[in-house]
Amino acid sequence: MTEPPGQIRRKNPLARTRQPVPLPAARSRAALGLAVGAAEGSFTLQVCAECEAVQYPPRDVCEACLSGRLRWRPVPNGGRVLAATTARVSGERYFRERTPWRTGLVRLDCGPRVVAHLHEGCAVDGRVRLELKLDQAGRGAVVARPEEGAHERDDRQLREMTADPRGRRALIVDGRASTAPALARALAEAGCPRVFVGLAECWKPLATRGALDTVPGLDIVPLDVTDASSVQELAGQMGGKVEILVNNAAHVRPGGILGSGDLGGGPD
Amino acid sequence: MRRTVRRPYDGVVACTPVTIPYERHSIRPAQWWIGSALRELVAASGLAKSDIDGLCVSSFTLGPDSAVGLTQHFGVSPRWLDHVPMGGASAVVALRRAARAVEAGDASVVAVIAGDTSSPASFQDMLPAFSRFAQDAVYPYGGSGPNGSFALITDHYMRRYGASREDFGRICVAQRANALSVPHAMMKTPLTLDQYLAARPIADPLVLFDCVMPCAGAEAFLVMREADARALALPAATLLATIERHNAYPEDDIQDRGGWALDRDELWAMAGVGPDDVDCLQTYDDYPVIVMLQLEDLGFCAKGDAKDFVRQHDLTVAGKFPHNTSGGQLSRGQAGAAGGHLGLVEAIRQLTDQPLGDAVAGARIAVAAGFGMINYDRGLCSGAAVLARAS
Repeated sequence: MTEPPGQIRRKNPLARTRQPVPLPAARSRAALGLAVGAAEGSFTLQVCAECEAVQYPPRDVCEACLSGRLRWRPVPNGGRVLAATTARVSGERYFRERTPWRTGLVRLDCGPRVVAHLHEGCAVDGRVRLELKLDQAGRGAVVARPEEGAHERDDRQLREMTADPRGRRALIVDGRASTAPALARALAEAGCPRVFVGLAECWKPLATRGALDTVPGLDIVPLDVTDASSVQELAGQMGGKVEILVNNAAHVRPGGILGSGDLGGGPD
Repeated sequence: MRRTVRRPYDGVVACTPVTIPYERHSIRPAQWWIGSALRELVAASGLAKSDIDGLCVSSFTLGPDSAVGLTQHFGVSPRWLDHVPMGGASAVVALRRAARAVEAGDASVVAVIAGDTSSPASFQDMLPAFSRFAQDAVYPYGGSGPNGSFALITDHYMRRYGASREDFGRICVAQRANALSVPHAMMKTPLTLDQYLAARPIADPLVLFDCVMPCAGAEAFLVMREADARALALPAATLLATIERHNAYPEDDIQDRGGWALDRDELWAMAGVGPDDVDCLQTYDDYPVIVMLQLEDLGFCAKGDAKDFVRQHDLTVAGKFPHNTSGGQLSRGQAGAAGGHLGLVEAIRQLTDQPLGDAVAGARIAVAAGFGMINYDRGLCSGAAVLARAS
């Protein structure tokens, strides 16, 4: 469970540690289009180019006229909650680590019915606005917020789909990059209580050291992203403590991202 | 375009009800369960394996096989073969197809079999990719599988029609009472309403006893001409009428009626009997709210009145309205696709005096309903069959 915004509490060493299990990422080719709207911050769904019918779930032919010409377009995101449930038990390990988990069925004003993650402020029969976010699988997911007021950063579930720095620890991987002091300061000012900054070859002088030292809650850690063993060592020490990773290193792995055939491993 | 009306059946019966006792988990694959059911059909009917010239199979865990692979596995050469992947509606749909095949002479005897295996991981493994829409737009939202979807349907039904958790509990408690006389029910301890209400929450408002337990098992029966069953001295149930419908009422915001409502007038007209003539009803009970929809949509009570119906009627075998007389899936377990066949096989059992547990005294007319496949936000397939004790 994401910790509530604010101070980070020391973990009870006797408590079970939440496992970093992934959310399954398998989606149809059509459904991958939701991620585009999520990245752009717009509520885009498929709209039939021939009859204008708005489609959801994503599909390959129009439900109304069977046209194959479906286009991703911004659509009105208002709707009403038809029913809600809170899952206490889940078949998926990712959610098992995070129950209770609230979802609902929403009727959009523009037509479709959408199963959505519900902000805690959403009530059945209440008006909501739907938004697209990236879920932990990196796929587009629909979240519902009350029409008035609430912000997703205050909601336990929706925080899983944002990188809100409040109450989270961040790692800026390259402390020697010119962007590092500004990034660190911005994170701290946005409420990040602990900012780690990776520094390769710590014995070398660092011109921006003074600027970094003025950032509250900042820690320098040894990290050379060009050296896989350095990355592994730091990941082993503190990988589980970092919720936000800012990759500001101008480093391209030899062979490119697909070169090793294993996105999860280092190249050497 | 002119719409045709279903033609009545001409002397088609269902007989030889077979149940392979369920197991919570099994190392035997679906092929074993289905093959064992076929063996039982042969043994119980007195037919030779080669006399069964039609085969209709339903299973979720048969992969990579389909019904085709089973013909070689079982050493049979049917001249009519079908595979019905419609979950809880498979039995009624299979019966419909088999009956027409027998009527037309495409097959003389059809074995209708559903069987599935169950491993500790098999149900969970099925959920993420149960359907395209489920994979894209339901499973990533809590990963609760059908529990989450039926929780939404139940939540809506309770708000709209004022049904209470006690009303759903009455259905579950009565079915548990019915299961106590069935030798291989998965759940064999009595259940009280208080226990139901205090049960572990699963997906609000659903609790543990609203949900079926996945298990391994098989259910089967034969479809043939009435004259053939008589010649073989097989007690049989005459097929009076059936319906099937898919994706009914797509315009409804949320499912509070199924395809039965669309087709029930034709069902009863074809059967020549009405809801009041039914001696035992076998509904598809993956969740009690769906039982309520069937009570209403098949015409046993008005829309929204199922809560009153279950308050006013004793649903046990000995009661005024015998319902899911062997305990249903809620007490006997859900053996995958065989869960859809459980009710139909039990209807045949009651009409042919071969019940697994207690008999419904003097049962002459039985109805078995099916419901299947939560594809996105609702179950898409619905069906029902009216059967009568053969004269």
